[in-house]
Amino acid sequence: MTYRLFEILSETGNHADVVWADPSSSDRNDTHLAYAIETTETQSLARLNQADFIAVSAQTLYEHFPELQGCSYLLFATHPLRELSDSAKYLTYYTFTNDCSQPISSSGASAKEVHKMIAFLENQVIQGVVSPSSEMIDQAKLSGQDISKWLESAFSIGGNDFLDDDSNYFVPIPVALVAIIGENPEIKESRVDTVKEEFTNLASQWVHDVEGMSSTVEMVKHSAYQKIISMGKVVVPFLLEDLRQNPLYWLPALRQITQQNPVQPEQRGKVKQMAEAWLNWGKQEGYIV
Amino acid sequence: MGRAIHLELRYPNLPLTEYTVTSPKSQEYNCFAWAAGDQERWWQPTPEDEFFWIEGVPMEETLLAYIKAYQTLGYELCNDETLEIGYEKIALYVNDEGIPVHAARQLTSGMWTSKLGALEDIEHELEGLTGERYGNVGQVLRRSNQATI
Repeated sequence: MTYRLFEILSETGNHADVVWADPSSSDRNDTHLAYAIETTETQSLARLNQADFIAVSAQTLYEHFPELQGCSYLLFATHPLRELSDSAKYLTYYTFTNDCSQPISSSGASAKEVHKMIAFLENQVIQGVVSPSSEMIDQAKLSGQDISKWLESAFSIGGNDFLDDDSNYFVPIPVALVAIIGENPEIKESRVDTVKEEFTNLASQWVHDVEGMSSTVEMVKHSAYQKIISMGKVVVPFLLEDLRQNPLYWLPALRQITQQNPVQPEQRGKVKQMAEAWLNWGKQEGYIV
Repeated sequence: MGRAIHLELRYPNLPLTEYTVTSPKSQEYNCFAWAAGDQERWWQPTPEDEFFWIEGVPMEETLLAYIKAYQTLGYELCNDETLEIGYEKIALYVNDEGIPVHAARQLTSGMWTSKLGALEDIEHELEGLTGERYGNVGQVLRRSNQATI
């Protein structure tokens, strides 16, 4: 199930004028905002209907953005009129701690930071590493209420020239909320169980189909094996675990996933020794406790 | 050790011919190693997978590369799969593309011995393993049984 930003933020029910900043919407109560939308050729605002709520792992986020340690949410927002200026931040994000009544800084992230963050998030979405649990959704809705109140209170379109530094123009239109999920043991365990189940199913199918083949090249070509490889490093602990029972099966997969080669020249073809080399590598790399 | 239904399901010609299982399963060697008398290594001419291949022989999955590999052990091309006194033979099975997918070694009885991937060894007739999985015999090799590995 995909939760939209509107679902997260709409619990308070009093900010529809902001969230539904869509030219096709008939629910626009704020005439100033409607004017802005209709007069700035920002038809791309229609994309707001597709704004999403997503979650990312805190551990992974902090590895890439150590300066965001302690943040619990990122709110991406546009400031539509600002796109008329080259220097102003049209698209930015605001960071929140667990206290979502106001962002850590109301100045928002720079264009460079936004670019880096979007690239990171796209990669996370492609990998699909975190699926929000129902508890996470409930928590996000609670936080969304506070964020909505901030959006409402911060809304300002006063001043003579919105591009002036002294302008009171501040119209953050929310487009995406990112929940930063700590390494909750239950969530982590759930993820591990999912990966293990997928690996077990694919491995079972693969063994059934290729057992008796003499060429590892043919064995590796099988779609189930290729899917296991495409799971990436997250599956490495299970490959290593199974290697104890099946020393042959996962040698090519480990090589392809990790791009490592712990096998010594004199061990080539000696399957048990090759497996042992990989198990030792797994211990050194922390995959095996 | 007798016959095995799980093998007959994979190799439909087996139950139509004479065969018997002669070893438990093993992932330590494959048919290409077994044909050469090697029970300690998995032979595979793919450089990226770190399996064993004879030094100096092209690491490529072609019939020529496999022939060259066995030639280093004294084998030569042969067109006759029947038992010849004074010779031991290897049969290379190839798929539709002519790529070797299996090897069997002839025993002094005239029967053949094969390692079936990571499964068991069997004694069998050459025709017992032809079919979808191992294709057909594409080349027979022979060497004097006085030669040593």
